[in-house]
Amino acid sequence: MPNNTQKQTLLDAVTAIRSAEQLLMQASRATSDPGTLTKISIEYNQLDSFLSQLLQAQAIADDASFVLATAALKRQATTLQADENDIKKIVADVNTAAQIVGYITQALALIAQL
Amino acid sequence: MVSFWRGVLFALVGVSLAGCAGLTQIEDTITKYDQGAHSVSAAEMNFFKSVQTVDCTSQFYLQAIGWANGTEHNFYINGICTPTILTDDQIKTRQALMDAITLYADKMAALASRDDSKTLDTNSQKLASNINNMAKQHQFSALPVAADVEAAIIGISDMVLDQKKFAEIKKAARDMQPDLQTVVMTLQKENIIFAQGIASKIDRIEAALRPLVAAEKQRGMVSFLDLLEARRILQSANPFSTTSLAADPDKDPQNVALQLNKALDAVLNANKAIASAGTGGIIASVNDLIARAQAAQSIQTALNK
Repeated sequence: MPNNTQKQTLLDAVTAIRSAEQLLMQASRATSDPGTLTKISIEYNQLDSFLSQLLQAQAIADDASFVLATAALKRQATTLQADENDIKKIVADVNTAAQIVGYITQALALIAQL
Repeated sequence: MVSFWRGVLFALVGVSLAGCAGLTQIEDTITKYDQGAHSVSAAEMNFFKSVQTVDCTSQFYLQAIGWANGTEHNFYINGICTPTILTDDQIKTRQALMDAITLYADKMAALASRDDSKTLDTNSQKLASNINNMAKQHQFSALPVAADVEAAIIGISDMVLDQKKFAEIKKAARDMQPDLQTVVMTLQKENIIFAQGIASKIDRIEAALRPLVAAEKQRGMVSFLDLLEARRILQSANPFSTTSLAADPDKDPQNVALQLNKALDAVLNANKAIASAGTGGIIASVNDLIARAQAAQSIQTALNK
Protein backbone atom coordinates (compact mmCIF):
# COMPACT_ATOMS: atom_id res chain seq x y z
CA MET A 1 0.00 0.00 0.00
CA PRO A 2 1.46 3.40 -0.95
CA ASN A 3 2.26 5.75 1.93
CA ASN A 4 0.98 9.34 1.88
CA THR A 5 4.13 10.73 0.19
CA GLN A 6 4.00 8.05 -2.51
CA LYS A 7 0.30 8.73 -3.08
CA GLN A 8 0.97 12.45 -3.50
CA THR A 9 3.83 11.66 -5.90
CA LEU A 10 1.48 9.53 -8.00
CA LEU A 11 -1.19 12.25 -7.99
CA ASP A 12 1.38 14.86 -9.09
CA ALA A 13 2.46 12.53 -11.90
CA VAL A 14 -1.21 12.18 -12.97
CA THR A 15 -1.49 15.97 -13.23
CA ALA A 16 1.72 16.23 -15.27
CA ILE A 17 0.64 13.50 -17.72
CA ARG A 18 -2.82 15.05 -18.09
CA SER A 19 -1.22 18.41 -18.91
CA ALA A 20 0.88 16.70 -21.60
CA GLU A 21 -2.27 15.06 -23.00
CA GLN A 22 -4.11 18.37 -23.22
CA LEU A 23 -1.28 19.93 -25.22
CA LEU A 24 -1.13 16.87 -27.46
CA MET A 25 -4.85 17.28 -28.17
CA GLN A 26 -4.23 20.92 -29.07
CA ALA A 27 -1.65 19.70 -31.59
CA SER A 28 -4.15 17.16 -32.94
CA ARG A 29 -6.82 19.81 -33.45
CA ALA A 30 -4.32 22.03 -35.24
CA THR A 31 -3.88 19.63 -38.17
CA SER A 32 -5.97 17.55 -40.58
CA ASP A 33 -3.07 15.52 -41.95
CA PRO A 34 -4.01 11.83 -41.48
CA GLY A 35 -0.42 10.68 -40.97
CA THR A 36 0.30 13.24 -38.26
CA LEU A 37 -3.06 12.61 -36.61
CA THR A 38 -2.41 8.87 -36.50
CA LYS A 39 0.99 9.41 -34.88
CA ILE A 40 -0.50 11.84 -32.35
CA SER A 41 -3.25 9.32 -31.58
CA ILE A 42 -0.65 6.61 -30.91
CA GLU A 43 1.29 8.93 -28.59
CA TYR A 44 -1.94 9.93 -26.83
CA ASN A 45 -2.80 6.25 -26.27
CA GLN A 46 0.56 5.75 -24.55
CA LEU A 47 -0.01 8.69 -22.24
CA ASP A 48 -3.60 7.69 -21.43
CA SER A 49 -2.57 4.10 -20.63
CA PHE A 50 0.18 5.44 -18.37
CA LEU A 51 -2.28 7.77 -16.64
CA SER A 52 -4.68 4.86 -16.01
CA GLN A 53 -1.82 2.87 -14.48
CA LEU A 54 -0.97 5.80 -12.21
CA LEU A 55 -4.59 6.04 -11.07
CA GLN A 56 -4.72 2.31 -10.42
CA ALA A 57 -1.45 2.40 -8.46
CA GLN A 58 -2.67 5.16 -6.13
CA ALA A 59 -5.78 3.08 -5.35
CA ILE A 60 -3.91 -0.15 -4.51
CA ALA A 61 -4.58 -1.48 -1.02
CA ASP A 62 -1.79 -4.01 -0.44
CA ASP A 63 2.00 -3.71 -0.38
CA ALA A 64 2.79 -6.57 -2.77
CA SER A 65 0.51 -5.24 -5.52
CA PHE A 66 1.90 -1.74 -5.05
CA VAL A 67 5.48 -2.98 -5.49
CA LEU A 68 4.43 -4.73 -8.73
CA ALA A 69 2.57 -1.63 -9.96
CA THR A 70 5.47 0.75 -9.33
CA ALA A 71 7.88 -1.68 -11.03
CA ALA A 72 5.58 -1.72 -14.08
CA LEU A 73 5.41 2.09 -14.06
CA LYS A 74 9.19 2.35 -13.97
CA ARG A 75 9.51 -0.13 -16.85
CA GLN A 76 7.04 1.92 -18.87
CA ALA A 77 9.07 5.05 -18.15
CA THR A 78 11.61 3.84 -20.73
CA THR A 79 8.87 3.73 -23.38
CA LEU A 80 7.75 7.23 -22.42
CA GLN A 81 11.31 8.51 -22.81
CA ALA A 82 11.25 7.19 -26.38
CA ASP A 83 7.86 8.89 -26.86
CA GLU A 84 9.44 12.20 -25.89
CA ASN A 85 11.69 12.00 -28.95
CA ASP A 86 8.79 10.99 -31.22
CA ILE A 87 6.67 13.89 -29.97
CA LYS A 88 9.41 16.35 -30.89
CA LYS A 89 9.24 15.02 -34.47
CA ILE A 90 5.43 14.81 -34.70
CA VAL A 91 4.27 18.07 -33.14
CA ALA A 92 4.94 20.88 -35.59
CA ASP A 93 4.93 23.71 -33.07
CA VAL A 94 8.33 23.59 -31.33
CA ASN A 95 7.14 25.37 -28.18
CA THR A 96 4.17 23.04 -27.72
CA ALA A 97 6.39 20.02 -28.30
CA ALA A 98 8.86 21.30 -25.71
CA GLN A 99 6.06 21.85 -23.18
CA ILE A 100 4.69 18.34 -23.73
CA VAL A 101 8.14 16.83 -23.30
CA GLY A 102 8.61 18.98 -20.18
CA TYR A 103 5.49 17.55 -18.57
CA ILE A 104 6.46 13.97 -19.44
CA THR A 105 9.97 14.54 -18.04
CA GLN A 106 8.36 15.90 -14.86
CA ALA A 107 6.18 12.77 -14.55
CA LEU A 108 9.14 10.47 -15.14
CA ALA A 109 11.16 12.24 -12.46
CA LEU A 110 8.28 11.74 -10.03
CA ILE A 111 7.96 8.05 -10.89
CA ALA A 112 11.69 7.59 -10.30
CA GLN A 113 11.15 8.74 -6.69
CA LEU A 114 8.74 5.86 -5.94
CA MET B 1 -53.46 42.22 41.09
CA VAL B 2 -55.46 40.00 38.78
CA SER B 3 -54.14 41.91 35.78
CA PHE B 4 -50.55 41.40 37.09
CA TRP B 5 -50.92 37.59 37.18
CA ARG B 6 -52.68 37.67 33.82
CA GLY B 7 -49.62 39.53 32.45
CA VAL B 8 -47.26 36.96 33.95
CA LEU B 9 -49.35 34.13 32.42
CA PHE B 10 -49.28 35.75 28.96
CA ALA B 11 -45.54 36.30 29.29
CA LEU B 12 -44.98 32.63 30.20
CA VAL B 13 -47.15 31.40 27.32
CA GLY B 14 -45.32 33.77 24.97
CA VAL B 15 -41.88 32.56 26.04
CA SER B 16 -43.03 28.95 25.78
CA LEU B 17 -44.38 29.44 22.24
CA ALA B 18 -41.25 31.28 21.17
CA GLY B 19 -39.20 28.33 22.43
CA CYS B 20 -41.33 25.92 20.41
CA ALA B 21 -40.98 28.11 17.32
CA GLY B 22 -37.18 28.15 17.75
CA LEU B 23 -37.14 24.40 18.21
CA THR B 24 -39.30 23.87 15.14
CA GLN B 25 -37.06 26.14 13.10
CA ILE B 26 -33.94 24.24 14.13
CA GLU B 27 -35.67 20.92 13.53
CA ASP B 28 -36.70 22.05 10.04
CA THR B 29 -33.22 23.37 9.32
CA ILE B 30 -31.47 20.18 10.43
CA THR B 31 -33.95 18.19 8.34
CA LYS B 32 -32.91 20.32 5.35
CA TYR B 33 -29.26 19.69 6.27
CA ASP B 34 -30.02 15.98 6.16
CA GLN B 35 -31.72 16.30 2.75
CA GLY B 36 -28.81 18.38 1.41
CA ALA B 37 -26.29 15.77 2.59
CA HIS B 38 -28.29 13.03 0.83
CA SER B 39 -28.40 15.03 -2.44
CA VAL B 40 -24.65 15.63 -2.36
CA SER B 41 -24.09 11.94 -1.63
CA ALA B 42 -26.23 10.88 -4.62
CA ALA B 43 -24.36 13.27 -6.93
CA GLU B 44 -20.99 12.05 -5.66
CA MET B 45 -21.90 8.40 -6.28
CA ASN B 46 -23.06 9.24 -9.79
CA PHE B 47 -19.74 10.96 -10.38
CA PHE B 48 -17.87 7.80 -9.37
CA LYS B 49 -20.08 5.69 -11.64
CA SER B 50 -19.43 8.09 -14.52
CA VAL B 51 -15.70 7.36 -14.15
CA GLN B 52 -16.48 3.73 -15.02
CA THR B 53 -18.94 4.68 -17.77
CA VAL B 54 -16.43 6.87 -19.61
CA ASP B 55 -13.71 4.28 -19.15
CA CYS B 56 -15.87 1.55 -20.70
CA THR B 57 -17.18 3.83 -23.49
CA SER B 58 -13.60 4.72 -24.40
CA GLN B 59 -12.58 1.06 -24.36
CA PHE B 60 -15.46 0.15 -26.68
CA TYR B 61 -14.72 2.85 -29.28
CA LEU B 62 -10.98 2.23 -29.27
CA GLN B 63 -11.44 -1.52 -29.60
CA ALA B 64 -14.00 -1.03 -32.39
CA ILE B 65 -11.69 1.38 -34.23
CA GLY B 66 -8.80 -1.04 -33.72
CA TRP B 67 -10.81 -3.94 -35.15
CA ALA B 68 -11.86 -1.85 -38.15
CA ASN B 69 -8.21 -0.89 -38.71
CA GLY B 70 -7.01 -4.46 -38.31
CA THR B 71 -5.00 -3.87 -35.12
CA GLU B 72 -7.53 -5.78 -32.96
CA HIS B 73 -8.30 -9.41 -33.83
CA ASN B 74 -11.95 -9.41 -32.71
CA PHE B 75 -14.84 -7.07 -31.97
CA TYR B 76 -17.16 -6.87 -28.95
CA ILE B 77 -20.53 -5.17 -28.99
CA ASN B 78 -22.02 -6.43 -25.70
CA GLY B 79 -20.62 -3.56 -23.60
CA ILE B 80 -18.75 -5.83 -21.17
CA CYS B 81 -15.55 -4.17 -19.98
CA THR B 82 -12.90 -4.30 -17.30
CA PRO B 83 -12.65 -0.85 -15.68
CA THR B 84 -9.10 0.49 -15.69
CA ILE B 85 -9.54 3.44 -13.29
CA LEU B 86 -12.16 2.57 -10.68
CA THR B 87 -13.33 -1.01 -10.03
CA ASP B 88 -16.69 -2.07 -8.57
CA ASP B 89 -15.03 -2.85 -5.23
CA GLN B 90 -13.41 0.58 -5.14
CA ILE B 91 -16.80 2.18 -5.80
CA LYS B 92 -18.25 0.18 -2.87
CA THR B 93 -15.55 1.59 -0.58
CA ARG B 94 -16.45 5.13 -1.65
CA GLN B 95 -20.16 4.36 -1.19
CA ALA B 96 -19.31 3.57 2.44
CA LEU B 97 -17.69 7.00 2.81
CA MET B 98 -20.82 8.69 1.51
CA ASP B 99 -23.00 6.47 3.72
CA ALA B 100 -21.01 7.65 6.74
CA ILE B 101 -21.88 11.27 5.89
CA THR B 102 -25.58 10.62 5.25
CA LEU B 103 -25.96 8.41 8.32
CA TYR B 104 -24.40 11.20 10.37
CA ALA B 105 -26.86 13.71 8.89
CA ASP B 106 -29.75 11.30 9.60
CA LYS B 107 -28.59 11.00 13.20
CA MET B 108 -28.40 14.79 13.54
CA ALA B 109 -31.96 15.04 12.21
CA ALA B 110 -33.04 12.43 14.78
CA LEU B 111 -31.31 14.37 17.58
CA ALA B 112 -33.00 17.61 16.50
CA SER B 113 -36.45 16.07 16.21
CA ARG B 114 -39.13 16.36 18.88
CA ASP B 115 -39.61 12.58 18.81
CA ASP B 116 -38.68 10.77 21.99
CA SER B 117 -36.56 8.24 20.13
CA LYS B 118 -33.19 9.61 19.00
CA THR B 119 -31.99 6.37 17.46
CA LEU B 120 -32.00 5.50 13.77
CA ASP B 121 -34.02 2.63 12.34
CA THR B 122 -32.65 -0.93 12.31
CA ASN B 123 -31.43 -0.78 8.70
CA SER B 124 -29.48 2.41 9.32
CA GLN B 125 -27.95 1.00 12.48
CA LYS B 126 -26.95 -2.16 10.58
CA LEU B 127 -25.36 -0.02 7.83
CA ALA B 128 -23.46 2.00 10.44
CA SER B 129 -22.19 -1.22 12.04
CA ASN B 130 -21.03 -2.53 8.65
CA ILE B 131 -19.13 0.69 7.89
CA ASN B 132 -17.59 0.61 11.35
CA ASN B 133 -16.41 -2.98 10.74
CA MET B 134 -15.05 -2.08 7.29
CA ALA B 135 -12.89 0.63 8.86
CA LYS B 136 -11.66 -1.68 11.62
CA GLN B 137 -10.70 -4.26 8.98
CA HIS B 138 -8.74 -1.55 7.10
CA GLN B 139 -10.94 -1.74 4.00
CA PHE B 140 -10.33 1.97 3.37
CA SER B 141 -6.56 1.48 3.18
CA ALA B 142 -6.33 2.46 -0.50
CA LEU B 143 -7.74 5.93 0.08
CA PRO B 144 -5.55 9.00 0.51
CA VAL B 145 -4.55 9.42 4.21
CA ALA B 146 -6.04 5.99 4.88
CA ALA B 147 -5.35 5.79 8.63
CA ASP B 148 -7.05 9.14 9.24
CA VAL B 149 -10.03 8.11 7.10
CA GLU B 150 -10.43 4.85 9.02
CA ALA B 151 -10.33 6.66 12.36
CA ALA B 152 -12.85 9.21 11.05
CA ILE B 153 -15.24 6.51 9.81
CA ILE B 154 -15.03 4.71 13.15
CA GLY B 155 -15.70 8.01 14.95
CA ILE B 156 -18.71 8.90 12.79
CA SER B 157 -20.27 5.42 12.84
CA ASP B 158 -19.77 5.20 16.63
CA MET B 159 -21.62 8.50 16.95
CA VAL B 160 -24.44 7.26 14.70
CA LEU B 161 -24.83 4.13 16.86
CA ASP B 162 -24.48 6.00 20.16
CA GLN B 163 -27.57 6.30 22.34
CA LYS B 164 -26.21 8.21 25.34
CA LYS B 165 -23.16 10.38 24.75
CA PHE B 166 -24.57 12.53 21.95
CA ALA B 167 -27.88 13.97 23.07
CA GLU B 168 -27.30 17.55 22.04
CA ILE B 169 -26.82 18.60 18.41
CA LYS B 170 -24.27 21.37 18.98
CA LYS B 171 -21.94 19.07 20.88
CA ALA B 172 -22.42 16.29 18.34
CA ALA B 173 -21.64 18.64 15.44
CA ARG B 174 -18.60 20.04 17.25
CA ASP B 175 -17.21 16.60 18.12
CA MET B 176 -17.75 15.19 14.62
CA GLN B 177 -16.41 18.18 12.64
CA PRO B 178 -12.77 16.89 12.42
CA ASP B 179 -13.92 13.42 11.30
CA LEU B 180 -16.29 14.87 8.71
CA GLN B 181 -13.50 17.11 7.47
CA THR B 182 -11.18 14.12 6.97
CA VAL B 183 -13.79 12.24 4.93
CA VAL B 184 -14.72 15.32 2.87
CA MET B 185 -11.09 16.20 2.09
CA THR B 186 -10.41 12.63 0.95
CA LEU B 187 -13.39 12.73 -1.40
CA GLN B 188 -12.40 16.15 -2.75
CA LYS B 189 -8.87 15.03 -3.51
CA GLU B 190 -10.14 11.98 -5.36
CA ASN B 191 -12.74 13.96 -7.32
CA ILE B 192 -10.02 16.10 -8.87
CA ILE B 193 -7.94 13.06 -9.78
CA PHE B 194 -10.83 11.06 -11.21
CA ALA B 195 -11.92 14.09 -13.24
CA GLN B 196 -8.53 14.00 -14.92
CA GLY B 197 -9.06 10.32 -15.66
CA ILE B 198 -12.49 11.02 -17.21
CA ALA B 199 -11.18 13.89 -19.36
CA SER B 200 -8.26 11.76 -20.49
CA LYS B 201 -10.62 9.03 -21.73
CA ILE B 202 -12.89 11.47 -23.59
CA ASP B 203 -9.93 13.11 -25.33
CA ARG B 204 -8.59 9.67 -26.22
CA ILE B 205 -11.75 9.03 -28.25
CA GLU B 206 -11.33 12.35 -30.07
CA ALA B 207 -7.64 11.61 -30.72
CA ALA B 208 -8.66 8.27 -32.27
CA LEU B 209 -11.54 9.68 -34.35
CA ARG B 210 -9.63 12.57 -35.95
CA PRO B 211 -7.21 10.43 -38.05
CA LEU B 212 -10.12 8.21 -39.17
CA VAL B 213 -12.09 11.15 -40.53
CA ALA B 214 -8.98 12.74 -42.08
CA ALA B 215 -8.03 9.46 -43.78
CA GLU B 216 -11.52 9.09 -45.24
CA LYS B 217 -11.24 12.62 -46.62
CA GLN B 218 -7.87 11.76 -48.20
CA ARG B 219 -9.47 8.76 -49.89
CA GLY B 220 -12.30 11.00 -51.11
CA MET B 221 -14.81 8.96 -49.11
CA VAL B 222 -15.76 11.37 -46.34
CA SER B 223 -19.21 12.91 -46.26
CA PHE B 224 -20.82 15.54 -44.09
CA LEU B 225 -22.65 12.71 -42.34
CA ASP B 226 -19.35 11.12 -41.26
CA LEU B 227 -18.46 14.34 -39.46
CA LEU B 228 -21.87 14.42 -37.84
CA GLU B 229 -21.41 10.86 -36.61
CA ALA B 230 -17.93 11.61 -35.24
CA ARG B 231 -19.35 14.64 -33.44
CA ARG B 232 -22.23 12.58 -32.03
CA ILE B 233 -19.80 9.99 -30.68
CA LEU B 234 -17.79 12.70 -28.90
CA GLN B 235 -20.94 14.29 -27.48
CA SER B 236 -22.11 10.97 -26.09
CA ALA B 237 -18.69 10.28 -24.55
CA ASN B 238 -18.85 13.20 -22.09
CA PRO B 239 -21.20 12.07 -19.32
CA PHE B 240 -21.73 15.62 -18.07
CA SER B 241 -22.77 17.36 -21.24
CA THR B 242 -24.27 16.99 -24.68
CA THR B 243 -21.29 18.85 -26.13
CA SER B 244 -17.63 17.93 -26.37
CA LEU B 245 -15.02 19.04 -23.80
CA ALA B 246 -13.59 21.66 -26.16
CA ALA B 247 -17.04 23.11 -26.92
CA ASP B 248 -18.30 23.36 -23.34
CA PRO B 249 -15.48 23.97 -20.82
CA ASP B 250 -18.04 24.46 -18.01
CA LYS B 251 -18.95 20.80 -18.37
CA ASP B 252 -15.32 19.75 -18.33
CA PRO B 253 -15.04 16.95 -15.72
CA GLN B 254 -12.58 19.12 -13.80
CA ASN B 255 -15.22 21.85 -13.39
CA VAL B 256 -17.83 19.26 -12.46
CA ALA B 257 -15.45 17.94 -9.80
CA LEU B 258 -14.93 21.48 -8.46
CA GLN B 259 -18.71 21.95 -8.28
CA LEU B 260 -19.03 18.70 -6.33
CA ASN B 261 -16.20 19.76 -4.02
CA LYS B 262 -18.00 23.01 -3.24
CA ALA B 263 -21.11 21.01 -2.34
CA LEU B 264 -18.99 18.86 -0.01
CA ASP B 265 -17.55 22.04 1.52
CA ALA B 266 -21.12 23.23 2.11
CA VAL B 267 -21.86 20.03 4.09
CA LEU B 268 -18.83 20.79 6.23
CA ASN B 269 -19.63 24.50 6.64
CA ALA B 270 -23.23 23.78 7.61
CA ASN B 271 -22.02 21.34 10.26
CA LYS B 272 -19.59 23.94 11.56
CA ALA B 273 -22.45 26.44 11.79
CA ILE B 274 -24.61 23.90 13.66
CA ALA B 275 -21.70 23.47 16.10
CA SER B 276 -21.01 27.11 16.78
CA ALA B 277 -23.35 29.62 15.11
CA GLY B 278 -26.69 31.04 16.17
CA THR B 279 -29.97 30.01 14.52
CA GLY B 280 -29.55 32.63 11.77
CA GLY B 281 -26.05 31.43 10.91
CA ILE B 282 -27.17 27.82 10.81
CA ILE B 283 -30.08 28.63 8.49
CA ALA B 284 -27.79 30.62 6.15
CA SER B 285 -25.25 27.78 5.97
CA VAL B 286 -27.91 25.14 5.40
CA ASN B 287 -29.50 27.30 2.66
CA ASP B 288 -26.09 27.47 0.99
CA LEU B 289 -25.86 23.68 1.25
CA ILE B 290 -29.28 23.32 -0.37
CA ALA B 291 -28.20 25.62 -3.24
CA ARG B 292 -24.98 23.65 -3.72
CA ALA B 293 -26.90 20.39 -3.52
CA GLN B 294 -29.24 21.63 -6.26
CA ALA B 295 -26.20 22.40 -8.42
CA ALA B 296 -24.96 18.89 -7.69
CA GLN B 297 -28.39 17.57 -8.68
CA SER B 298 -27.98 19.26 -12.06
CA ILE B 299 -24.89 17.08 -12.55
CA GLN B 300 -27.08 14.06 -11.97
CA THR B 301 -29.61 15.34 -14.48
CA ALA B 302 -26.82 15.72 -17.03
CA LEU B 303 -25.67 12.17 -16.27
CA ASN B 304 -29.15 10.84 -16.94
CA LYS B 305 -29.36 12.51 -20.36
